[in-house]
Amino acid sequence: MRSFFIRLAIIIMIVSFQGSFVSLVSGNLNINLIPLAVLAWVAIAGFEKIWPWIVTLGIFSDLFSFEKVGVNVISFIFLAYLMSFFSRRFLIEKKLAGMIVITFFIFAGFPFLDLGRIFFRENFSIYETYLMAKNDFSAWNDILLQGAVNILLFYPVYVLLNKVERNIEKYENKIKVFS
Amino acid sequence: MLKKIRSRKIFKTAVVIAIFVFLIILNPLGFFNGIRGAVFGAVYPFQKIFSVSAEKIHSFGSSISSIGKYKQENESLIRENLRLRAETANLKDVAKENDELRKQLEILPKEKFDMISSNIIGRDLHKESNYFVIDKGSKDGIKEGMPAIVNEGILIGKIEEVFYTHSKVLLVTSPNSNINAVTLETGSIGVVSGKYGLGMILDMVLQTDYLKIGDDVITSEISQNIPRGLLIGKIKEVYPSGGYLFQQAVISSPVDFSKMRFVFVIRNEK
Repeated sequence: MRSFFIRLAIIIMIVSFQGSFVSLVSGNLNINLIPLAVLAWVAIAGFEKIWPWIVTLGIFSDLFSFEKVGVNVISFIFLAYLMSFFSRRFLIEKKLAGMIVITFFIFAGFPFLDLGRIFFRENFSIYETYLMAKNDFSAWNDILLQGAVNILLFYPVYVLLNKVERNIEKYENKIKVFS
Repeated sequence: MLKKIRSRKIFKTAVVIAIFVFLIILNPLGFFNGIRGAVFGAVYPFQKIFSVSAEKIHSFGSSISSIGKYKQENESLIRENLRLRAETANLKDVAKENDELRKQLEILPKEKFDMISSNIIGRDLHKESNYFVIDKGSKDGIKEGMPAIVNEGILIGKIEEVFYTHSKVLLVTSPNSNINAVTLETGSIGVVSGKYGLGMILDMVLQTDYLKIGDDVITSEISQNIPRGLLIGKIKEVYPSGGYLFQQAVISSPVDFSKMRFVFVIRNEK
C-alpha cells in the first residue's frame, strides 16, 4: 500500500512540476519531463511491473493538460512497449548500448510521440497532424536543442526514480520476510 | 495458450490502446470533469509553490543575464528622458484627440471593466500555447466565456473551463479558439483562430474587403461576452485562403505568451 501511494505521489509531482515549473522556466523550448519519466521507469523496473503506472501517468497528464483522457495514455504505453522491446534486444544494462537506445528514443521518438498525440487528440485527423508535423519538423535547430536538453534531464529523472524504486523494493522485500 | 497470450507485453499494450481509443472516440463529455476538478483542487498547493519558484528563478536568470546591459541602458535612458520631456508637451494635445477617437471607435478603456487579476499557475504541458491555468475559479466569480486580457486591453484568450479554485484560459493562439474580430482601419470583419505553425490567423474575410498589413485587429461586438475594442494583434501577412472564397491574414500578437505571469479576467463591464 505504501508503494502505491509513493508512486501516485511521484506521478502527481512530475505532472504538476512539468505544468507549473518546467513549462515556464524552459521558455520557448519544448522540454517535457513526463516521457522521460516513462523511459526511465521502464528502464529501471521493466514493462511488466510498471505498465499500470505508465497508464496512470498518462491519465494524470491528460487530466492536467485538458486533453481527452486517453490521448497521452496511448502515446506513453506505446513508448513504454517500444522501450522495453528495444532494451531487451540492445541490453540496456550495458551503459553504452543503453545510452544509445535512450538517445535514439529522445531524438527520434519524442517528435513522433507528439504527432501521435495530435492524431488522437484531433479525432484522427491526418490534416491537423500534417500541419503539426510541418511545424515541428521545420525547426531542426529547436529539435536538436530540445533533444540535447532532454538527454541531460534524463539523468536526474532516472536517478530520482531509481532511488524511489530501490526503496520500494527494499520495503516490499521486508514485508515478504515478515509475512 | 490463452494465458500465454494474455501475459505477453504486446497483448497488454494492445488492450490498453484499444480501451483508450474507445474512450477517445466515445468521449463521454463531462465524465472526467469532476475528476479533473478534484485533481486540480488536490494539487493546488504544489502548483502554487512550483509556479512561484519558477517565476523567481526565471526573473533571477533574466536579471543575471542583463547585468552587463545596465550601464549602457542607463546612458540611453538619460537621453530618452530628455527626449520624452519634449514629447510630453505634444502628447497632452494628442491625448485630447485620442479621447475623441476612442469615443468614435468604441474602444473600451480599462476603467470601464470589472476585472480580477490572477496568477498563471499552469501552462500547456506540450508547449503548444493552447491554454493557461489561472488561480481564480468559480469562488471568485469566474464564468465560462469571460475574456482574459493583459496590459491595457490586449486579449489573450477566454475562460473555457471553470473549477472551484482554478480556471482554464483557452488562448487566442489555440486552434480551438474562435474570436469574432474586425480590423481597426479598414473595418473588415473576420474570425481569429490559432493555426499550428502560424500563430493566429484572421479568417473568413470576404474577398471584397480590404486587409492592410500593419492594421490592428480588435474584437468585434458580435463576440459573446467579449467587449468590442480589445486588441488582438497586428496584421503581418495577407493571403487568399485555399478555396479563394475568403481572405486570410496572419496576425502577430503584441505580447509574448511564454513570458506572461499574470492575466486579468473581465467579469463584466461597469
